[in-house]
Amino acid sequence: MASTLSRPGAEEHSPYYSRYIELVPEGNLVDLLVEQQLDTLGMLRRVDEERGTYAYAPGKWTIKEVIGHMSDAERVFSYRALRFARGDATPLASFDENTYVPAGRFNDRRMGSLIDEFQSIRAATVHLFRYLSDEEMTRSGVASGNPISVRALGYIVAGHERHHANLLRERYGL
Amino acid sequence: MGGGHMSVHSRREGETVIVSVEGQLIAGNRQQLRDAVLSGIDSGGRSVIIDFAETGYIDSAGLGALVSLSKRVREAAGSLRLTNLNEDLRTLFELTRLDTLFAFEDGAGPGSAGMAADLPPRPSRSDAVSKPWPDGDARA
Repeated sequence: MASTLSRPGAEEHSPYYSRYIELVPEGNLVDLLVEQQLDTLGMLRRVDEERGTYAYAPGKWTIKEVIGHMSDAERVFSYRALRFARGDATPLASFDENTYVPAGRFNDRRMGSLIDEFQSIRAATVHLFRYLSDEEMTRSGVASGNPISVRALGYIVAGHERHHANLLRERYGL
Repeated sequence: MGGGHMSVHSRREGETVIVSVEGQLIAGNRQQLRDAVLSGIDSGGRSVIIDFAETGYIDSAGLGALVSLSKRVREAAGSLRLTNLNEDLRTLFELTRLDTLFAFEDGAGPGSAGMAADLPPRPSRSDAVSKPWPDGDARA
């Protein structure tokens, strides 16, 4: 039975997104979104202002830019989920993270501001998926030229966050 | 806090299921709470109250379990209320901005005051006629 308890099938998303979906552990999606919110925010709140502009190599995003990117991406993925869950089949455009990040000017902002924004966005994501029915989770549409289901988008939100949280630990030393 | 011990006790008063959590609600024991609440719903309970008077700590997994339980209870056409949270626990819900998903009240019991977050107010006649917007919000 399709539900927030079951994982999306491979046919529900483009192969590109498998890298994120595979990072999501077994269990309830809504549970996980809440767990991530507290765990990741706990990690980020230990980062001071100076550390926030650290990048582990030239040309790589700073910690602040990673947080900003996580917020941007979660907004986009959740927006797609909202559209498809509401039965809107309008194809949705892709977004280019490499133009969004500099345009976001995240290094000009304080860590607390970026963390608060991410926290608000994740809370909004939890609210969205908390109220979707199993049937709505299986609805789909086209984004970035590929079919994708609402459920897959939920898993991509969780997996994308997990991907960057892992990088923050492994490469940024958080 | 100590050792992650938790025990769950549930009792039934009419259609209300009252589940008391003693100790810590964490990843290792959240299934106990889930089982108690879902068992109450499966046996016909429609109103669930989780009493945290004896709960000292809730971790991220415990909070996640509460959110997904609220979804399950709603899908069963029931209501879920949380009661007797200490200040730290209440702050946890507020900081994560998840407090709006729950109804909170001060005392455990089917007669206690408290409004379920998922129960919409009945529309009044004045609501039906006071929509001046000409655009897509007209049916908001």
